[in-house]
Amino acid sequence: MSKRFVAAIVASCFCVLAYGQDDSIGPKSDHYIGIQANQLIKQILNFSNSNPAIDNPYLLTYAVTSRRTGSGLSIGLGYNFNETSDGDAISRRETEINDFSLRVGYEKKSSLGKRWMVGFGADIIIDKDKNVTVNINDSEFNKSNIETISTAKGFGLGPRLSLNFKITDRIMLGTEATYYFRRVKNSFAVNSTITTMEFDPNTGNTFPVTRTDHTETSDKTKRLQFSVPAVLFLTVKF
Amino acid sequence: MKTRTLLLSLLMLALFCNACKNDDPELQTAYLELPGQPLDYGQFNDHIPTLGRVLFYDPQLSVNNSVSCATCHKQVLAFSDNTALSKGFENRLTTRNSMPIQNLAVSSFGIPASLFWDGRENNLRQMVMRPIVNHIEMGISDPEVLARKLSVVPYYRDLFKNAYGTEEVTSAGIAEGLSSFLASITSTNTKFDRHNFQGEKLTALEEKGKALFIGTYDCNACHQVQNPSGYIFAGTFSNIGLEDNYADNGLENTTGHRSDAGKFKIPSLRNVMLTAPYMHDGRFSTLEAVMDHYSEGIEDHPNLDPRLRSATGEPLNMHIPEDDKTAIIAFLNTLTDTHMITDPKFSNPFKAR
Repeated sequence: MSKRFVAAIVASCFCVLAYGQDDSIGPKSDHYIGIQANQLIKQILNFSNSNPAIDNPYLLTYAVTSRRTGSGLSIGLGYNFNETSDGDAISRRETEINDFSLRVGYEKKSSLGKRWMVGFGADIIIDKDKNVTVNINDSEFNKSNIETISTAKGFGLGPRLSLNFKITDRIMLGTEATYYFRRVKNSFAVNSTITTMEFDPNTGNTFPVTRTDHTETSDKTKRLQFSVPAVLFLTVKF
Repeated sequence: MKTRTLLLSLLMLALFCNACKNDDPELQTAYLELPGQPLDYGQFNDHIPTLGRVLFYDPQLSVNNSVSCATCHKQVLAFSDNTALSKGFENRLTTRNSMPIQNLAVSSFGIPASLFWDGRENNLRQMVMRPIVNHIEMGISDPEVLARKLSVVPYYRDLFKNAYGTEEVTSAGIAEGLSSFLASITSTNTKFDRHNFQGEKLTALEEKGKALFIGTYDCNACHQVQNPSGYIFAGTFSNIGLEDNYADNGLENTTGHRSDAGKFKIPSLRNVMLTAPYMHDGRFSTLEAVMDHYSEGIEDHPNLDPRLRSATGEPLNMHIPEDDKTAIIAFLNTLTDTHMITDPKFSNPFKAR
């Protein structure tokens, strides 16, 4: 069974290769799938032990371009899910972070000599980040259970420029710079339940009082952001 | 065969679920432990830094009671953090590495030192409120909201009464208490200080490192280690060629001048052995990596510090031999102040039981 499975994979790979190389009967477009490869390349080449900040959220890219004109559709997708539970002896915090980023746009690719390929285009971008954090505290004076929910919904557009080095005919290593205008609506909500010990002067006793509260704020921001070519994409053409 | 595979898969799944099981222990109750009389902070009214000490360690300064100032500024690390980018109240990463806190009140020629990596503040009382109202760090919407929040906490009524003679909790009192506490955190008892002022001997390796630091490689041109704050002229910033195109432009974000792009505050090297990782974004995990940068890794940049250019104008990669790096690091170790990082008057007053 496993031999058949491996054989099927190998056969399909050859099919893809053959499909990609035959212009006369094949489709009129090239497909590119890219993946963010900074960490991988750092591991392989052992560049340095530094960790510069990366602000490109698109982990996976896909482009389909016409073989004749070099222009076509480009998509970028990024999704991060992070669940953390931390704290100390007197406090416990649980966080769930969901960050989603999508871009769809037009792109035109052109070859610069045998080894280089430059691309330029424009994208529409949509992103949504949500963070839910619950923190539980216990102190001599109060016990608190506070949930914060922050969301950021962004929408924007802007130009993109990319440069790829062809390691082989099918495998490329490249980077990109973007200059996106982004409009973001941020909202922040706090749900709190706090129990404090109050003093009753009539009886001389203390007693617990629990208060619940909900607050919500929101704001809108606009920004024009230049993203430097700090991210490397490993792209496969097929 | 299929049954065995299925059973094995179920066993693995059970083990995985068990590993993920939430087995957090019960929380302990926090209580505040302060001496009857305030500790000696060397200030006119030591009740004010005492109030600041409680505020500094109190997670109620964040919107969800999850982080305090001390979360990112740990005493044992010279009030820095041992992570490249610290996490805020929602576990979101901040954008810069936490700077150590020490000798903040030291100014040169009466000029207050610039604060933060990008020098966006030079007033300590205003600086202490910035992380509190930052939407990633502590998330409080307004200093007045914090004052109202703390005014129902019984111990703050007492602490404010002691400090200011009134139980009213105010944002101005919070700022003064915190800044007074931070100003009291001083580092003046390193081996290098004792060498300079009391004649304590350095080892041969440390002496070699000192000569290399001050002489051969002229590190002292920027990091003037003989000065408690680290530099003679307050407010110095430098572009040290970390990138040819910075993602974070540092001082330019404050001044708006393109000529300030990539410039960051030159940090004091006091306790530098404790404050890893290094640089504004914590990119270097070790001092060896920092030395490698100055040795071979300086990138050209239009704003590169002229002290880091050779006579021909090229980036000055210093090609520091391994032996010299070892000696310089040995010397830097003489800048560690073990007294400051264990001093009870800077320690956490909240205990658990």
